[in-house]
Amino acid sequence: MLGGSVLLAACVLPFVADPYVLEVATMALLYIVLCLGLNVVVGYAGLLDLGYAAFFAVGAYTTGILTSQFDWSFWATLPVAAVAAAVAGVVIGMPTLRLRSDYLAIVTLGFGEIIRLIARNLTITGGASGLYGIERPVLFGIRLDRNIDFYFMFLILVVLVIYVSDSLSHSRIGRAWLYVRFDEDAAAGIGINRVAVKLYAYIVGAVIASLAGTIFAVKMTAVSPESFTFSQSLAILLGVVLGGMGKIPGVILGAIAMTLLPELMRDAGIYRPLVTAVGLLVLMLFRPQGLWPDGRA
Amino acid sequence: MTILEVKQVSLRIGGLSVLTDVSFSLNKGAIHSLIGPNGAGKTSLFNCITGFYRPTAGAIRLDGTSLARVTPHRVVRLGLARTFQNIRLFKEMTVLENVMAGCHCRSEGSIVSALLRTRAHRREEESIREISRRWLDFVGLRAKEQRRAGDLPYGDRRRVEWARALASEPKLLMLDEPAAGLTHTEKAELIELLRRIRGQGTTILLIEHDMPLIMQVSDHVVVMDHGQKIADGEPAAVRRNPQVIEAYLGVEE
Repeated sequence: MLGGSVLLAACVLPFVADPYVLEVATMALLYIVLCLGLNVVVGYAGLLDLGYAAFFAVGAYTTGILTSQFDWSFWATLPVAAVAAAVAGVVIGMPTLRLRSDYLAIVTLGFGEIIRLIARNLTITGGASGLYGIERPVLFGIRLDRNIDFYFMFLILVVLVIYVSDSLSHSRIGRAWLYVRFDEDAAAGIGINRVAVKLYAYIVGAVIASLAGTIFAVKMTAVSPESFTFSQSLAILLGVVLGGMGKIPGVILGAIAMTLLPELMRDAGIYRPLVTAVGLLVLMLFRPQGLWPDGRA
Repeated sequence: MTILEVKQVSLRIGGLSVLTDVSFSLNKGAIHSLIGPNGAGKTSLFNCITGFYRPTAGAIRLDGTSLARVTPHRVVRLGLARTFQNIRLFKEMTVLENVMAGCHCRSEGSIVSALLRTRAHRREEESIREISRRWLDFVGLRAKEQRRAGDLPYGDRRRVEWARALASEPKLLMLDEPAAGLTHTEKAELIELLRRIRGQGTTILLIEHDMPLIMQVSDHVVVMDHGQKIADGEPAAVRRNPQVIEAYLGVEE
């Protein structure tokens, strides 16, 4: 019921909102996708990932390169971006999944920076200035180039990702993520292949971020390495932690908060990061489990 | 019929000889106990059998299949379940969810079938619940299936762990000090439960310190001391073995 009403409101919003609100709302949807994707990795499987923006970059650059340099249609790049992200997930996953929390966090941090630096230095990715002139998607002969088009593309992706998160969290694999998160050795001792289970979490999370990246690329028509910095990864992680790890409505709330807070504090000027930091500290002191946490976390 | 064969197993950790040339075999459908003073190497041997440690030498076979180089989760799938000395439950999850973990290695639902919500997937989920509830009935915890595992009293937490291990349909069930910390009544219930498990054809290997319990319930006892097997046989015979008495009571100078 609540979900239906929220979805209805989200569908009506772009028709009543001014361009500024529409832009902020679109960014909120992007963050919701990214936070829900990272939630699979951090919230469900309990793997601290500090380089999640790398998978977002893989999607954005895959679509950017294929449309701007090889004249692919946007839609054809989607499966390629998903596969590329899954491969990236395995590449980062295989050597690191035997590591435990702190070490894993450091390796993922490094991986995030490596992807950004590769993008910055290759010719095919446009170097430091990035790619521009990315072709807009065409659907049934209509060129999708209005802000409202991208709003709805992100909204569809949000609904899809909620469905995926919800289905998986109530499945055998979703339970296995929780078992591994709560006690890895006990999970192995009862017959759960911890390496495979963690790898699945990485792959699912990577594909979700990558799909967000593809839409981001065609919305902006340009991608540059500076969109995929460590602070981007951190912002996504903050959204997940802020909202309440492991619970879908909580994570959505966290993502919205991470989008709105900077906008609401424009008046604070150069003090904005300071105010944000203090706000987050206060929240973590008084509500460490997040805004709307999963009952068991 | 032999279910588990341990053959000349040695384990060295650093310069230390933890296990030396340990050999014994366990018959199918019986209750076996592994005893010995503290530091005798019982838990190390347990960890070798369950794949958590890799023996330096020797062979371990479960129902004819070698367990060398088999990872812990594969060992469970081959039919060997274990419990931990210091109960390892998923405390934040419900009792039912804990037991469902045991079904994981006997089910195969994939990410794709979960996303498509196929009928086979729903049916499997249904059957996992059903099997788990049956084991909760078996250990007498069905009424508490929705409780958070970490909130249960100690004796009940042990039962959850047994139900979880049983849900993996083991041929051999290995319990590490199951009677530790149990009350007198709970111990009596444990004995009754062990007999019921044996009754359905599952072999049991206990590591225990509680001598009266061992003597009452075991069909066969293996005694270890200083990383070596010193005796092996029926409880009454083992109790009279001078080497065993020496290991437990020391020897007069």
